[in-house]
Amino acid sequence: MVKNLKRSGLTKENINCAPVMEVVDLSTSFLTAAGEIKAVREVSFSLFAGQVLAVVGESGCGKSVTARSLLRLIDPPGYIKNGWVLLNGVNLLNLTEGEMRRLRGTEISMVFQDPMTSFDPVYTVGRQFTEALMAHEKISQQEAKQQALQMLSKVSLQDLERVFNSYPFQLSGGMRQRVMIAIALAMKPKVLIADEPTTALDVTVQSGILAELKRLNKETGSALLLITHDLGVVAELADRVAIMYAGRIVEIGSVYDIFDHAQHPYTRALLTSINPIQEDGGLTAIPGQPPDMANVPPGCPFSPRCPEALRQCRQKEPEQYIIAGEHWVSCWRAESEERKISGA
Amino acid sequence: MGRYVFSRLTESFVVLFIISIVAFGLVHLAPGDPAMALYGDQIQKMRPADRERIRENLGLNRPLPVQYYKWISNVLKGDMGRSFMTGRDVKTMLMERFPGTLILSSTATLIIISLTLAIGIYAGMRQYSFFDYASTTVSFILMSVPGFWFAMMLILVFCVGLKWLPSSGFTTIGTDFSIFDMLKHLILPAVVLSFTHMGYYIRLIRGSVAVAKEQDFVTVLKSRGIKNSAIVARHIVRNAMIPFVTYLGVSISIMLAGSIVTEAIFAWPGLGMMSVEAANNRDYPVLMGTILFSGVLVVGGSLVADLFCA
Repeated sequence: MVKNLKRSGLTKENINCAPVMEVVDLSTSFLTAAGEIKAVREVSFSLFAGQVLAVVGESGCGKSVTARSLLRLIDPPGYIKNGWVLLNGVNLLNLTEGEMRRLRGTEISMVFQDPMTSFDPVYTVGRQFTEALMAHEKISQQEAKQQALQMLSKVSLQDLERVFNSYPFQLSGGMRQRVMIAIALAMKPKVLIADEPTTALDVTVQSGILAELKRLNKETGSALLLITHDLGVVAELADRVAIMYAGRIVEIGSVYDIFDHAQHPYTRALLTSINPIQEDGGLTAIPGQPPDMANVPPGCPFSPRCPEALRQCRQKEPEQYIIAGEHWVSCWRAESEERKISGA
Repeated sequence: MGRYVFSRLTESFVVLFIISIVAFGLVHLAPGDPAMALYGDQIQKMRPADRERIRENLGLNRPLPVQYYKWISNVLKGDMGRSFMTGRDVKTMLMERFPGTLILSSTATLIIISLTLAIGIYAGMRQYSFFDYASTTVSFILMSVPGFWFAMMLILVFCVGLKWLPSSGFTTIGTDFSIFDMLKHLILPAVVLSFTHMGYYIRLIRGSVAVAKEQDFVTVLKSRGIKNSAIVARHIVRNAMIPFVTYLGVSISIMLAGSIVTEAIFAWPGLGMMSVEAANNRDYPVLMGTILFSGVLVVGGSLVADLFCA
């Protein structure tokens, strides 16, 4: 366990400021006709109050499944295979469904990707707001409405009464996402998960929403887990960054570690793809495709696309090595005995 | 909203106008002659001169557009004409028969709503379970069994075999009216009428519940810690009800217009049986009256359902 906690990012530097949430060796699989799909494999990380951890990766790398696993929102045929999700020292994976339900929305909240489909179309957003409040507190409709209006005012919405009484289709995407954020933060959760909160929005609206998230994150002191594939968003918002590939975190570190001292070839390839236009006008892209998750190749899953692959990369999955402080990487290139933090 | 109501109302009137033309046209284009029907068995005694006289009296010798104009302008004034056979006022006849149909169809509707909602929601929530497959099988059986055959089988079992229930009529002839007696007469027609409709409704509600429970907002609601039972009752079912209510509006009005097969088999005195009699007798005013009345009910029913959904 000590070894595992260390891997989750708990080191001497931050031992005094204990993490709000620790995720250790979390694995989530889906049982399909094609066999077991290991969508998330032994993922570990920590979330700290008032900080933003960004999880970055290509589509299908397991980012969203990781996020949903924390709230235990995985529907069959998916299931959480093993691991710990520790919140205030309690392993959420051991709670009953009823205990877990009481934590959803109060201790951990989530903002979803598509604000168009995230509201029930037949009720006003206000009704859906008060419903969430009244599911956890014994308050009247009127009190719930007052709380909701107050929260809506904090996400820079105007004409609150009108917004409150609107049906989802009467609001713009940006407004709906602001309402979503207001509902998610209304009960002052310790952890807020934002699963690609701006992907479905207009570019001009995106920065406003992100600024809002960042400000509220600092104000409420909640820990923010931001799922994204947009490295621009990461640079703007994140304190720490985890890079995911084929269900694993391949590198994790502070935003400076990742942007200035990236160790994993995949991280470096992602970073060069931010400014993809080359001098000859072509695009820098990572060659090849991410692996078929039902059929992950042996060794490092990135090795078939990796320009620096060694022979052992194709045979054995790399262990994890500390680069400095809480920056670690899972790559054979970083191998050395003293850096080793996991494995047999 | 006001504009929607207005456009929907205008639309309904246009549809009713078209229905009135079709009702009139179909009835007059159909083979058969009211004069001959009036003579019935004694058709041999009818001379061509008699026939002409009858046609003259009934106004059937005029050009069709003139007849239509006369009929429709009277209908708009509230006069639906008189029966060729009995000379009675068509409107009075409709009003006499309507309660019978109303009782039958509202009972059937209640059965349909309660049973199909329970079965459909349960099956939709447990898609691909044993219960779901069983309810699907039963639905397809209900959809494919013809109503008249089902009715006869029920009569065979409950009236001929077990002698539990009467097989026809509204009340037992020769006795005073009692609610209990009427209910006994009502059971079989109501079961036949509702069961022949139920298959579609089970499929419909099961399908829309299965779709609704996969919507993104269900996960979102769960992530806010809302109880599963509340998500199902308040959100999934509410969303799934939209196609159900729309369809129900149409089929309630179809049933109100008279369920021809069921009413005819059980000799239930409703509009359906009246239109069968009218068709046999070439009783044009009664037939046109029932068709137009059905049209008003169907158009009105879907109008109400649409406004309800909006």
